[in-house]
Amino acid sequence: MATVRLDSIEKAYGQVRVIKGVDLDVADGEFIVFVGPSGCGKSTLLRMIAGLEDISGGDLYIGGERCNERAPKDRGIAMVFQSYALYPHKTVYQNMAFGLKLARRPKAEIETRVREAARILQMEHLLDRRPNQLSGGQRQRVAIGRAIVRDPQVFLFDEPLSNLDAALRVSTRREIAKLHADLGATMIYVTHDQVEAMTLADRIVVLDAGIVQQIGTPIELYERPQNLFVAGFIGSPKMNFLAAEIVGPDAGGLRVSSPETGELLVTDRDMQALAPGAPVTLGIRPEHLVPAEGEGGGVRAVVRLVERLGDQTLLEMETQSGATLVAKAPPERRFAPGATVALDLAAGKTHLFDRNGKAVARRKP
Amino acid sequence: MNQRTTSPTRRPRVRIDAAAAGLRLAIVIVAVVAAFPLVWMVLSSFKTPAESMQVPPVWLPATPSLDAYSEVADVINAGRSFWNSAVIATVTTAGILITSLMAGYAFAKYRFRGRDALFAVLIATMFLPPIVTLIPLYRLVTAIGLNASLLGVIVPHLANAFGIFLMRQFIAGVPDDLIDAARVDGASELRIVFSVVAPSVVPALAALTLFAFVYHWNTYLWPLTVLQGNSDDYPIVISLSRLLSYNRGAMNTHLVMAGATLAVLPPLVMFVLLQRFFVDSIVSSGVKG
Ligand SMILES: Nc1ncnc2c1ncn2[C@@H]1O[C@H](COP(=O)(O)OP(=O)(O)OP(=O)(O)O)[C@@H](O)[C@H]1O
Ligand SMILES: [Mg+2]
Repeated sequence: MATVRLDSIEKAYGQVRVIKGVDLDVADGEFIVFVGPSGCGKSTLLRMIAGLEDISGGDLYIGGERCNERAPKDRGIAMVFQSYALYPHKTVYQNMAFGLKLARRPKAEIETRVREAARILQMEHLLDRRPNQLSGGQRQRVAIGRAIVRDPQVFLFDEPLSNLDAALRVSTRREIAKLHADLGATMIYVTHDQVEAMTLADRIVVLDAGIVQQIGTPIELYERPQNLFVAGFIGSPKMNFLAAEIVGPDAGGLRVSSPETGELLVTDRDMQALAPGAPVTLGIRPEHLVPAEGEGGGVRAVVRLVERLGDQTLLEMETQSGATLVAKAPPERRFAPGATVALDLAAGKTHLFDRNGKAVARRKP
Repeated sequence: MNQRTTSPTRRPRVRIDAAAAGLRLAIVIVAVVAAFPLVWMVLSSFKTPAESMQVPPVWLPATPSLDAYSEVADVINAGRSFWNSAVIATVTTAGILITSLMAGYAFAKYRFRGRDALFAVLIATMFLPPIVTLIPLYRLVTAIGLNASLLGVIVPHLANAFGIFLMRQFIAGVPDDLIDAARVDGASELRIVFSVVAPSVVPALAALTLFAFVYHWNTYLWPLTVLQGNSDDYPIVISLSRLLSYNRGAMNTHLVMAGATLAVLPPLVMFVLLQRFFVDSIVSSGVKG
């Protein structure tokens, strides 16, 4: 087991900078998830940790030792690929044993370790098969087994579940969580699936264009996004954004105003953070925008689209000013497109971002 | 009513059957034409000298005999020539397989400066007729003292542009993740080439093996040039040509045919051994597609 430390890690392909100085401290046994839009550099960062990609700048430490120039096999890592990357001409057993064989481990030890990994993953009956005789889920298991056999200090996963169907993805996700609990190994996991990130991670690293946008626990990212990018990226359906303006400080927070919401008090903000008249973006999660029971409700909008999911109903709506809002309604209430609905806004749960997209500072405790 | 509905569906099927039969007939005709010289060669090798020269030709030997075969052994050192051919073809083919795999891997999977230009130059050499390089190559081989030896025949052909091209094309289709997985497992680059990449391109290797083996089994001009009359090292193809001139070329046809029949056997065996890989690859790609 080991810590991993990234110190101003950079990657450039010729003139193109892909990773622009990433700092990260991964604790021993921690489960870290990299998320971000396609092309933001998640895989590149992971592959640099694995040693499959040269590091253009900065330092990488695994278990306290600088590993920039070390070969992948000497870093104490194992990697699971999205495509499984099983050796097609080898049996499951040989696939799992290959690394140990190359390390010239004694035959008996190889046998014990392969069988142990197969037992953990409940696939002892598959050991003599070839990859083309396995289902997608079984192949992914073998890929994970091949990683376990190496007994690595750090597990690296690059979108390991994205080729599986929805049901299998859920069950394999749980198995990976269980594996992490059982082995206690450090794991770094790349995904663009929010549910995977939220459920698996001790901490999530949100990347965009090669820059870390925020590092934090899933709940921190959800409740306190540091900028507009993280606010928009974490959470599904996405957070609603409205253009607003600072009215002035008030009662331990800031009073803001927008055409859609009128004036409202965002509490728990640094009262000196922004001067009256400063433009801001007001962020409202759909669950904090609920159709009002009876009269009242500060926000009025016309229903454009109704999505009934069973446990909840999503309403896509348009305000008079032309802004689009998504609201979450309880399933028992019925809405028809074209109807005007008044919405209750949980002002205390709103998010506030300055003109640079940075979250407005919270009040000092 | 019923007949009306069935007949239109039946008619196109009959047409397809006719087309298939026509195609089959065409294939048979082509096969017969292609096999004719081969059959003629084998039949003639069992004839007497007189029969083999007869006009109009006779098809079947009246009393098939193996005399021609034993006579071949008297005239040329057939065993030695076969051995030379085997050494030349086997060593050259092995060399081509190894160099093509390694260079093909580098061209397909490494990024380095000048890669594409280098590859273009390599491809360009494929279009040079061998006759153009014959003399320069001969002078080179002589300069390093390999002339008049089997080594001189073999060494210049241990790498081959076509082989590298073929392997690059196929290795490009091997997933990068597979190679990366092997790196994580601790495989050296050499190990990756031979333990991970090679098993993934077996059909291409089989094709290259067959191509290289047949080509270098049959090669004539280059060994004749390099060996400079050192008949001990002659491959079977050159020795056969001596059968033609032996006895002033009189009534030797049956001898040449017997020698040639022997000489085509190894490439034939090679093909039979390797053909299942072609069939395999066709079947498996069909299943996947
Ligand atoms: N060999 C290369 N040369 C130049 N640019 C590259 C190269 N490999 C990757 N990139 C660029 O690096 C960026 C990051 O790629 P990377 O594969 O890490 O993205 P990712 O976050 O894993 O995306 P995805 O979610 O689609 O897998 C991309 O913009 C890509 O175009
Ligand atoms: Mg990726």
